[in-house]
Amino acid sequence: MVTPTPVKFAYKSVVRRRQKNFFSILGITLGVALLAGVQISVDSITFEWQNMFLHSGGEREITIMGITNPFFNESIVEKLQQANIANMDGITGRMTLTTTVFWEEEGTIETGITFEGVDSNEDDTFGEYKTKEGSTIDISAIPDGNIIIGRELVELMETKENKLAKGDSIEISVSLGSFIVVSQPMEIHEIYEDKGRGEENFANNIVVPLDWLQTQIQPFFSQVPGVDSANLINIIYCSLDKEVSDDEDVSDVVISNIFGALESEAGIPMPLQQFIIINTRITTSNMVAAMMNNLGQILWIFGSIIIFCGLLLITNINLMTVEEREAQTGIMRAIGTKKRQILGSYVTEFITLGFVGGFLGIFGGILYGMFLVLMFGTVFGLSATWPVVSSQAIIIAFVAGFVVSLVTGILPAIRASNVNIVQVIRGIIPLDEKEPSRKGLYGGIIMLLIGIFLLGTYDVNILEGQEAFRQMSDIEFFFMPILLIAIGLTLVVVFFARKLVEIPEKLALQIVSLILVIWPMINLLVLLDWAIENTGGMMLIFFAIFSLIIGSTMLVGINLDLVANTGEFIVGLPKRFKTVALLAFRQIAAQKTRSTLTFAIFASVLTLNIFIGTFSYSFRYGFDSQVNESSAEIDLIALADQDINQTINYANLVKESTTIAGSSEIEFAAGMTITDEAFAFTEEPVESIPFDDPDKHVRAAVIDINTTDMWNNNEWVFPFPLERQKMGDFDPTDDDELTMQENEQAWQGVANNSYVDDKGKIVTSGGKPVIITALYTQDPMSMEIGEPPAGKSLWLLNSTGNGLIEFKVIAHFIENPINDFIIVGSISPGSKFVFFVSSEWTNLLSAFTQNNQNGTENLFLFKTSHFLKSESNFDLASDIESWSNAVDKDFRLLHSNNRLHGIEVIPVWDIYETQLEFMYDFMTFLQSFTSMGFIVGVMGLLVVSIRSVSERKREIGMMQSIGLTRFGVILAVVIELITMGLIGLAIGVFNGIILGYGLINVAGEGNATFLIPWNIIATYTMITLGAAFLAAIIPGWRAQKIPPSEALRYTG
Amino acid sequence: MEKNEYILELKDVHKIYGRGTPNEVHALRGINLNIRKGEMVAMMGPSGCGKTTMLHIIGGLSKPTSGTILVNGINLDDFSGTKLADFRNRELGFIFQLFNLFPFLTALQNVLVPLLIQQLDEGEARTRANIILRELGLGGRMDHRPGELSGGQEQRVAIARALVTQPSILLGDEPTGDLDTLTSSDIMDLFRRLNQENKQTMLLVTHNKFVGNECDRIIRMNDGIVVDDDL
Ligand SMILES: Nc1ncnc2c1ncn2[C@@H]1O[C@H](COP(=O)(O)OP(=O)(O)OP(=O)(O)O)[C@@H](O)[C@H]1O
Ligand SMILES: [Mg+2]
Repeated sequence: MVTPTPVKFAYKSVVRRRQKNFFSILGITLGVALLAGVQISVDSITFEWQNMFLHSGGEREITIMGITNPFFNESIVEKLQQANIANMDGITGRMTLTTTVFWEEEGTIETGITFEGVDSNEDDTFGEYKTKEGSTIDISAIPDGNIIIGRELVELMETKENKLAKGDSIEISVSLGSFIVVSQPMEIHEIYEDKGRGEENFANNIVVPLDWLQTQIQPFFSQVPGVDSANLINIIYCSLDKEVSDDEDVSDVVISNIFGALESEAGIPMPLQQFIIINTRITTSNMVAAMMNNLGQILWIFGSIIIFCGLLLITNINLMTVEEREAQTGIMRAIGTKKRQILGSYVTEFITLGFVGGFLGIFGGILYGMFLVLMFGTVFGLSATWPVVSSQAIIIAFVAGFVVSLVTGILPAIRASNVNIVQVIRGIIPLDEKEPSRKGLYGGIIMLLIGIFLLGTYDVNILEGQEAFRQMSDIEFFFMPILLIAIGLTLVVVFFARKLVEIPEKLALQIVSLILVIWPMINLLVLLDWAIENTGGMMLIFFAIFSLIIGSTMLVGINLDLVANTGEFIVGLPKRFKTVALLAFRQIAAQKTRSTLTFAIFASVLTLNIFIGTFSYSFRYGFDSQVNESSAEIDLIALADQDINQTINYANLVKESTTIAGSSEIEFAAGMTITDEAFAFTEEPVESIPFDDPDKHVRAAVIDINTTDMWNNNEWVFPFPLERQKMGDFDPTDDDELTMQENEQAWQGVANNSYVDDKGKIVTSGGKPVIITALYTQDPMSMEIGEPPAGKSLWLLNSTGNGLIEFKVIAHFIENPINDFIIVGSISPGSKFVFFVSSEWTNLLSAFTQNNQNGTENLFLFKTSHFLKSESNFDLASDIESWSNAVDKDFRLLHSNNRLHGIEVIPVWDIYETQLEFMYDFMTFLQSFTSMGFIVGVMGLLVVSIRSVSERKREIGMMQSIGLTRFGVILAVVIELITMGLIGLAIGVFNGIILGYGLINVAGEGNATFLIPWNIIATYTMITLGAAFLAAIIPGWRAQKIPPSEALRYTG
Repeated sequence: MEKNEYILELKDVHKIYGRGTPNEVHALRGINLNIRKGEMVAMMGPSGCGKTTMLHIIGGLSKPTSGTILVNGINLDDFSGTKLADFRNRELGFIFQLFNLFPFLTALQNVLVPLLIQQLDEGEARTRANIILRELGLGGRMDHRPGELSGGQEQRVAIARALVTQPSILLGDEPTGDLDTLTSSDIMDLFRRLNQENKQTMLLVTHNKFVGNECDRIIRMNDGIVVDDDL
């Protein structure tokens, strides 16, 4: 059998050059691992997240709730069952209420907890409650007065010292409007775990048998006319057949069939006006998909840098192999090998290397993905699962790695059969290119045309100047066209200028790389500050990353001589370092392409890490001052689940208490009332009140404010910051925060029951009553914010429930702990607005009269002498909590009826921490995502440098022969790599800080203060120097150990 | 007294490459050799007879398998790493058979390196490197890298680098191998002059009879031993 020569030759060079190929393969492996790892982790995390949310939803595809009458008879469930609706698999009715849980022993209290009555005959498709040991809890076996409680909630209530267990009692207080339907200690029958499908709220609730709960609430409904008070429920869940559970069309049909059945089977007239039916699963999964889209985008942005490192790594390794072949190719051609044969052998060899490296890299990628999924699980408290390895991810990574390794390996080889290889590969990174060639001219013209064309297609005219950059999406759009035009113009102008005047070499390249650096800087540092609307922006960051990395790397690469000369001069200042300085820096300058590729790896990994470091550091600490300001000097907020009579003056009792250890530190305390959801209408209702039109009304919690709540001896105690947007002409400068004086005036306006005109100015006569609205989050997931302008009217239901009172907005809250608390603390979870009105007006509002809230208080603010973050505030909060809730003691005795009001006291700082927690967690995860990239990048760098230094055996032997000590030999290599590291570090710090600034602007919406994370930079400096040192010392040490005579005979 | 007469003494030097492997080569098989200070010695012999090996051993670039080498009466084995490096830098000048220069340094920088190792003042080092390069006819090639020089020019830069420190012993492995007759006789004249003026000892490996005849003494080697020494 005759083996074709190329194969034979390639086989030989793969086998013979074992060590070198080992490094080539390792380099490709690491590169592909990075590629695959990013894809695998994005896939896995999407999957995990989806799981997390769908799991919490159980198999509840459809939810039915009452609109006008929240409670209805459970016979409806049976009727629906009998209707035999196609594709509907199961149906169950439950009663879901909220409760306050108080654990006497520890004094811990949780409010807003779901208290659920579950039918003991319920289909297990809706979830089974399982014990830690895995056995199913039989709902019908729960004795009266017993509960089962979720593990998460238990953990929330427990302390280190005191654990809750089966058989313990906790006090439960469930209210329904102004009635208290359950108020008694209840025994824990079982604690259930968050396992198996269908457990709601992550085991964060309390479950009792439905029958028992129905008996408890029956008395409260027995007087209500037209309601059959027996067997009430307030929620129905339906599950669909497994195969169609994710099918939106099918569930839409099921929903309309349910409506039909409600009318025909259950005999409910006009069910559309009585029931709301939600496509729970589809809604949830769409929401998760949207969230994952965002998250995936961020992961891909960062991941793309990691991938870029992988590609650099492969290119670098292959460049070495190709360079080495220069002589070999010459010899082969000299002895008459045909071009085709040479090429064949190279192709075969690189295919082999790419194949083996790509194959191994996939395993590396899976490992990387596993690590990330594990991290993700740890950070977000999920049980880690196996990473999702889609065949697509594997194929993409493999093909990409394989193709890149082939292209970087073979392309030069192809041309090498005609021209000098090294010249060619250097052409790929055009550091030495004579400039600008005719090719450059054509490229320039094309770029110019594309840029101009793109600008023309956009509907925002850039000539409007600052006006054109009002939205982040505009800035994002303009980025590429302007970059193209600038680069194109440079190439064209320099090409023609060269014909007329003497122009320094590489001028065009210098300008282009400067443009690549400066344009993103302008965008991130200047233009983003001009933007007033936070739409888009992620792509901009993405463009900026690459523009910056490529530009800064090119800039240094082109000016490597300058860098090397400077380095040589500085390091060579002490005479004894002259030689090593000369050797190290001439080496760098002579191998421009390779040096550039090497520090480019450092530069991109460091850009990524400093970027994330800056971003997360600013997110972590940059909110402090913001929080301090928006806390408006409130240190603690207390919220009572059940209203307390004003005359009791709870706030003052706390302040004056002698039993609460730290109460003397309370400087000021105020009590006010916050209502449950109230309807407010955003348009003047002409004929009838549009209850059913969600576009015309908002649901809000209303808080009454009076002078004594806010002013103490004429001193304004809670300086809530406000901002105002003027009605009519849109002038962004008016959107600014108000001055303290203006703030005070506005609050005075509300507290003193003043009137305002159409522009939101306080007037003595003719206007409407004042209302202050709080910024609200329309959709917590999309973080979209609505800001009603000053002078806008809002209509609130009057006490009869049939008429409306018109208010005018004077200003709105920027951010405030009360509002944030309400969203986070899940009281009235539906309320997204908070309105402040004078207590003069509240007794005219239905929100107050319907729930008998006039003359009561449930919201209390405390100002202490401690600073916001102080531990003492936390201690005080828990002391007040115990004092307020303890059975037969303190407040409950003072209050004489010994009733549990469910008073939860929260340090304001805690509210913000809760809010930021998710962000922190995400940052932690991002950091591990990228530090893995850093580690792999550094490993790659080690590979590159080990190979690179190993090739210098001859030179090292020569150094020794002319009298350089071994130490000197190692030192020269160390200096060389440390310089690479430092260049990378400088680029990384520069880019990272600029990008961090930009992303904070995009993602932090201007709220986080930009902070430079010096500690993180210091850490990375150390790590970089350490890595560079390692990368030098390992091969340097090995090389100097070889006897010089052998080193001198080394031919590669 | 007696001992110091010889600047170089080799006693029963053996060198075995790849010992114990199938590729074992007994490159030196008991070399005994004494060289006086100021002697100019040519070493000749067929390819593969061990000439380069011997030069390397004399320069301390590799260790003999057995035997001793005394330089100025001092055993090379007694030198520590740093001292050995210092000895190579000050006392020896090497000219190698192949690829002599640092490819990333210019001709001038290549010649500068040994002087910088001595921590000589850079200005003075430059002057000295300049002089010697010019003397070797490379005045116009100072800032060229080896890749931009002809083989002969490269060789002359290597010679310049070996001579610039005014070593007491010059070890040349075919120093004139790549040079034309005219240039190589110029170089030999230079060697001769330095030898006479500075009492520099020279050990030159050569295949060239003309070079051999220029020297005081010719040592002939074959198959790892000295077969003829016309002392
Ligand atoms: N590292 C090594 N391992 C094994 N054998 C070696 C090694 N170095 C040299 N040899 C062998 O030792 C012998 C002597 O080699 P050396 O280089 O000293 O010869 P030379 O006399 O300088 O020849 P030339 O005139 O061709 O340069 C040769 O046979 C060579 O193959
Ligand atoms: Mg030889």
